[in-house]
Amino acid sequence: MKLIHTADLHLDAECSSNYSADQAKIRRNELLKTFLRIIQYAEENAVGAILISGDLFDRKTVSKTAANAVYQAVIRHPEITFFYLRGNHDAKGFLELFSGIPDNLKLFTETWTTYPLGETGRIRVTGRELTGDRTDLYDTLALTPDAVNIVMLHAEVSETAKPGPESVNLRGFRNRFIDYLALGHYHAFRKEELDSRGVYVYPGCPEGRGFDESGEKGFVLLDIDEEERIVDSYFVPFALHVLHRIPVSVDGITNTLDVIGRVRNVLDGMKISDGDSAEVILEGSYDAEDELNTPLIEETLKDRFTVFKVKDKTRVRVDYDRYAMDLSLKGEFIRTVRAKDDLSEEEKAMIIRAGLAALRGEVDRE
Amino acid sequence: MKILGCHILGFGCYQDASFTFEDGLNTVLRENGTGKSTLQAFLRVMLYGFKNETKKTKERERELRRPWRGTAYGGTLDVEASEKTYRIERAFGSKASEDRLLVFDLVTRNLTDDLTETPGKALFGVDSDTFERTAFVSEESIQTYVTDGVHAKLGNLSEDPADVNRYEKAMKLLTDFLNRNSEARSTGELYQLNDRVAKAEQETASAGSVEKALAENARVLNELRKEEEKLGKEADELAEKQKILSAYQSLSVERATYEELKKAAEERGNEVKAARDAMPGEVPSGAELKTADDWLQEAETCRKLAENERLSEADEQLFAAYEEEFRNGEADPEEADRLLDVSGRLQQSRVELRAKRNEREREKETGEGQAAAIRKTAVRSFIFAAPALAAFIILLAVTLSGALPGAAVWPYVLMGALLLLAVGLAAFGMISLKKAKQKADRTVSAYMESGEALQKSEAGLQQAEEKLRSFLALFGRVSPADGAGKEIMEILKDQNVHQKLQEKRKRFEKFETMQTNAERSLDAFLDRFSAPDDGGKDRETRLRELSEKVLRLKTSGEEMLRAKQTLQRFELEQDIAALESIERPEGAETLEELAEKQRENRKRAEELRTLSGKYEQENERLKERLSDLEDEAGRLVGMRIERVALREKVRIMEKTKTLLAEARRSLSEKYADPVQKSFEEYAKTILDGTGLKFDLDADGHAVIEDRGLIRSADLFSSGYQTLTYFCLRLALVDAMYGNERPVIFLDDPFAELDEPKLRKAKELISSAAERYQILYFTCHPSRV
Repeated sequence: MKLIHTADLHLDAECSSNYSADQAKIRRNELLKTFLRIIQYAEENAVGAILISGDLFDRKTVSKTAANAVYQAVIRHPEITFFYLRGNHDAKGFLELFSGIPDNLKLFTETWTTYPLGETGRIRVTGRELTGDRTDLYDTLALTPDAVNIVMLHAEVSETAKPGPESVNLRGFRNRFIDYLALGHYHAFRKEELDSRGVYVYPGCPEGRGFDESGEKGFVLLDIDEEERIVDSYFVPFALHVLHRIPVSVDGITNTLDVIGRVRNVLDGMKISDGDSAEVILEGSYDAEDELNTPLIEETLKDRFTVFKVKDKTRVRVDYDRYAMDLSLKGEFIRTVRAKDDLSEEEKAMIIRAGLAALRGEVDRE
Repeated sequence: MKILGCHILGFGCYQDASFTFEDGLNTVLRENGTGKSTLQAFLRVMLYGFKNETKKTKERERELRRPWRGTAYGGTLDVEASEKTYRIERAFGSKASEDRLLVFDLVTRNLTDDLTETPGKALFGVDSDTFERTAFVSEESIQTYVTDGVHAKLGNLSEDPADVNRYEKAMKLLTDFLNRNSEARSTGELYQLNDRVAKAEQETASAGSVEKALAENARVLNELRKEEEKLGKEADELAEKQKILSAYQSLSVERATYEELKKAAEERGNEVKAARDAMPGEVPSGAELKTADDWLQEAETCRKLAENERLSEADEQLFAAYEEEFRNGEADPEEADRLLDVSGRLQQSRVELRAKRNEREREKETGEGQAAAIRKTAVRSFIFAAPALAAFIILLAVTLSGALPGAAVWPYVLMGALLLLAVGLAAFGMISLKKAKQKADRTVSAYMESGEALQKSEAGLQQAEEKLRSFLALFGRVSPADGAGKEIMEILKDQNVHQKLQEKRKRFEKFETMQTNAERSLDAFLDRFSAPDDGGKDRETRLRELSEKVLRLKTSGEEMLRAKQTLQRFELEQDIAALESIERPEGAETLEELAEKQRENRKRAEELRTLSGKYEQENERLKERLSDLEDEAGRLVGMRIERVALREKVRIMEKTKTLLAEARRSLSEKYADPVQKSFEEYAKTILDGTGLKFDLDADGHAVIEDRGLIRSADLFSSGYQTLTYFCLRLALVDAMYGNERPVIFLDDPFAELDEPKLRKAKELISSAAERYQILYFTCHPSRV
């Protein structure tokens, strides 16, 4: 039997941190569109169930569009069982808008709830929402050894008992007959061994909303052999548009045009689709006296992207010796800054860069 | 420092060239394009290396100065500095890494490390740009540098001299940036950002109250729903009561209906009995009554019909007359028609017969005339043929006699023609005679035939007349001569009327008989079923009364049957035992009272729905508001991050501005006073004898004091501006170069000066040459 494991869709998210108002609206619709595409994929590939491990929505109050889209998608696919476990962002009452809970929508509560799945019923999907008292979280998890056990949680896992409303200790889930721990909360794909029997997996969000969610996004497809109790899982890239965070070193470059050339070379060497977004992080050291016009870089290279940003994270390099014999104001300025003990080296570099830019008449360009 | 000399191995236009220089002023007088600039460049490059090494190959000085002839690239420079003599030896490759620099101590002839990094820096303590901006004086640098203040000059010493007042510009840019992003000014970005953050914080702080309002809304809605449910239950109970009471009332109605049905069945039974009692004898069936009624109708109908067919007295008389006329029988219509036809044709036939006779005679005459004509034609032919024959004979005779020439042909031809003519005419005459005979024969024959036909026709006419007479006689009529047709027509007409009268009489008798029979049947019927003492009523009345009785009996019987059936059906459909045992339910409420309570219940339910609707609307509004606040909270995070970043940037810029100002002050303090003093000294040379006095204002700009008035140097003539700049330049060199005085390069800076100014310039040069080694490059002897 095939299942899809997804989480952190954050439907109705604001998306305004990187996008303009119009772009944010488009991006919100793209989040919804990807959710519907996942269901279409499930329908076309004979997937029997979809596990949503939390944060289906981004907020407590849900737009009618998003609520309707989710509800209609569920009721129009009675052949797919939807397992919906709410996360820390999810809306409590999006189902209150409708007259009832569809039969193929399985919900979870503050206690462990198990549903059978599959032709033989040997697949068991168990989940629990981390609201309320969690002291019995590990003790009350009772799984059948000869079943294929899928456990759903929306939490941050660690090896230690970190305090926090979304934190759980991995040790509490080891050797508990779990074949697949379907997690949500982290927005990047991660698959690790849980114990000798099973794995824990974060599918990541299927669409990135900001450059902190850059890279390939998608969902995890599970292929379960009920008889042999084998669970194969692999990541399926599925995002409509990818956000790329691209570090580019500017070592050895002294002007903006050469930086543009280097960035362009890096971009040309990457697999980028039209409509993707990119954030270029300029790294390395850059001489304080050299000009670096990041708005010009953005303007030159932005065309194929929805959002294109350039962040200057270069270390300002100041060759103090070069200015030792410079009797001009520039040289005096650099010597003055250098002599200030109450400034860190980084501050000195930034001040020198700003001062030299000002002397060049380029204050607002950087 | 002093340049003792140089040897150029290869550099631009120079190859294997040597130069020596003395203390003080060294004049290099060469025409333009003969290597003055190249020599200056060589000396500079030997001290500081090439400029523009990072530019493209073509633009690099290294390439521009490459030896023309492709010889070794480089040379040596002998200098004296700090009481030492050095030989700087350089070889240049295609790039800096291929260059070679060796410095020898000329006294010991050993390599030395004293000047190896950059000889110029090591010697003067300034970099290449500063050296050029100070020690190199060209005409171009004078033109654009004249009005520069000392401070600006000090600030621009490492930059392009054409771009003046960079410090002022820089400070303005920084100030503008700080103002634009100020946290104190209301137009500042940070101020406005703070404002937006505060507003957002205020907004998002209300999220709690919105959530509370939502919760309260939910609570109220819950209460309303509960009340609605309660009202629903009450409505159900009321409906149940109504149902029970309605049921009782329905049953009561049914019971009353049952009683009525029973009563009706009984009454119908009584009516049947009464109707039967009213008929003492048998009861005729409907069919029998129908038959009797038919008799009655028939008798009446026949009576009327007979009356219609009764002959009048006149008709009776007429009938008798026709009886007499047709005592021998009636005429056969077909024969009568035939005779009519004959009668009609008789007159016509007579006329035709007469015409035929006349025609016959005419034809005879015509035929005979035609035959005579043909005979005449034949005779004529013979008459004409005779002369032709005679002519032939004559000619023949002549010819035979030999009277004509023997060779002549025409006689034979003429004889042939005459013979032919005679023969032809004779033949024609014969034919015509034959025709005439034939014609005459035919005429006779035809005449004879037509005579026979006429005779037959006459005989036929006579026969027809005889028949007509006979026919008329049968009916006592005599045929007039001009047509028996009229008589025949009259006979037929009389016959027709007679037949009609006959038929009418027959019909009358028939109807009369039918009427009598029907009346007899009806009487028999009435006597059988009616009461014998009907009081002399007529048949119709008796029959009608009988029918009414029978109908009454039948009707009442049917009604009784229907009533019984209705009663039976009712008894089958209803639970009679229950009907008979129903009791009124408990409770004093009537149906109306219950209905009124239902109305009030519905009204209240409607009010609750309306109220719920309002709360749900409010719910939606609050949810939207909460959603907006969540969005605002997201934006608030972004704004706070932006504010932190901007504050940091502003802090850096403030520091930058402060330190830039501090650097400027420091620079000024280091060099401004010495420059001022030197400048005033040099300026005396220019203004000596003029009564004017040079000075520097607070900003370091050159000014002239003229009879107490201070005028800016940019008001000077260009010549004075040139000289002023030169003084300033010399003053800068005096101030900026510490221990080791540089060599001053003058690249023909006074080309535009007039004679008096040039003289001043030369004085300045001479004055400076007392302290500096000056290399003066010019192309004109007048400027030496």
